[in-house]
Amino acid sequence: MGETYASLLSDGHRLSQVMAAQWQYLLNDPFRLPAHPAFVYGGRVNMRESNVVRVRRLGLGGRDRMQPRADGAAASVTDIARGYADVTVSPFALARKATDLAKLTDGLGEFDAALLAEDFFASYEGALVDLVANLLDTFGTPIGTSGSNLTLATFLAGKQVMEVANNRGPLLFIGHTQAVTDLQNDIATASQGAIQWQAQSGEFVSRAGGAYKGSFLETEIYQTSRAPSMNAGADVASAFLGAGAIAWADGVSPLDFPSDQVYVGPVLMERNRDSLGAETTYVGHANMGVVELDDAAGLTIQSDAP
Amino acid sequence: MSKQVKPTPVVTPAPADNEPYEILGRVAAPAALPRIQTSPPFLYMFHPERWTAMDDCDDGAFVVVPQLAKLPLLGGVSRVESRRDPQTGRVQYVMDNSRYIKERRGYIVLDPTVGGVRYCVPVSVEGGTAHVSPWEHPTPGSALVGRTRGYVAWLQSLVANGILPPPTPVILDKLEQDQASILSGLVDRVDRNPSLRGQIKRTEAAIEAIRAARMMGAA
Repeated sequence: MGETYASLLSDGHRLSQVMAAQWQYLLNDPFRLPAHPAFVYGGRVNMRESNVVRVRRLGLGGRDRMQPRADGAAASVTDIARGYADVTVSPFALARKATDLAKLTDGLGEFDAALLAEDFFASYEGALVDLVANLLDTFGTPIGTSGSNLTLATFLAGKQVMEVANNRGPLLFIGHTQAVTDLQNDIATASQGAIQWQAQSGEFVSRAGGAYKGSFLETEIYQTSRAPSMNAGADVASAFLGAGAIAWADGVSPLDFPSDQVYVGPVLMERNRDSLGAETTYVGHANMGVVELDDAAGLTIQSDAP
Repeated sequence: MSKQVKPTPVVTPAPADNEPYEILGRVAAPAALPRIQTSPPFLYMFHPERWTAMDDCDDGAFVVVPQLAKLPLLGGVSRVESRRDPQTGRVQYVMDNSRYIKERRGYIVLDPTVGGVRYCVPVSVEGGTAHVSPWEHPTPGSALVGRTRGYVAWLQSLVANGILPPPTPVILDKLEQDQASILSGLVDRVDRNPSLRGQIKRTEAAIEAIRAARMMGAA
């Protein structure tokens, strides 16, 4: 009779004493930055002689109104650009290491290079979302009641603040997972009329899993558990975002050793062989940064923490 | 043939001789870690517009306090740059530009030990390190976070000691309007969903606290 020595089990490592081999993805927060005008792409820093990108805010498109001019008097000059935000691009990486023993016993493909490449790309997208999530508690004067669930009433009040501040739809709402599910519950239980009143209410309430929760009241709703806590853990942050709320930029690491490096989108994936230790290291490199571009284009919502 | 493993003395008492079973294989597992998300260290920052009415640990006693935001010490966010000091090996966060853009928008970035409290505490969690306030207590093996009182008093001391300015009447008006707007939305639907009464009670308490703060400011 075989014996399993639990003392030899080490989290995440396969050892010979583990008889049943199987793997399953850890629970994840599968959020990718949506293509929404809330996010302004500042471009790549490659060959710009700086890792900082400046995104300017312009008063064009009729934003600056004509001013009355007294007959015979000179017109005053209005600057086109009256605000900017600088994005600092920083390096990020994810590294995996496998010994030959681990690879030769791998019967399920967990050290397959293609799988790792997919993993690096997903990790890059997740990291970018994490950066954005870190900005959610910094917009404007937060609304919502501390210690109270997010309700339709708060959602509508926030949407009103956004529209009064000249944010045109469609708005983007990135909510903490707790907040979005609280909002769904409130709409489902308290708004018998609302679900009939608008078809998308029903769609929003019934949508489960994934980051995208649907469109509700001209607002695209996403959820993430990476949103920061507020008020010493009593609450969590969510935010409405309008066009131009957040600027981001990136950079692509140079490919110097084509035999051991490959691009996976903007991620440079490379492998490194330690022959003495019989180990192979895989690393994915990316460079990115985010910054709040326009404070008035966002609104932080506070609601009760899980 | 299986062998009997000596039970861990503290956790598993030795079975009595007359027990019809024996417990095998009891070994010490590594300590469970909290299952909350990893998060970067942070500096608290305050904007004069950011106030809220909150109670400490849901005790129902609402007061108006500054609502702090977190400036994450995370390279790539809000112009924070990080690098490793070649001499000491420690990670350094270069905050000059980040502080500049926040202060240009009116924020006050708080010193990490302001008010005699080190407000950013590292905690080992599954997958790395989380950084929480000293009033938050992640639970080993769980995603739950306990809280202890003190945050509200700390905020009040920052205002009382002149580190943060008091709220202006305009801010208090805005706060009250926002809460009143939320309250009316709740009251409109409480007939259909009686469980909203709890939210209504909290919102009313928040409004009362805002009015009390305005009275104190006027006095």
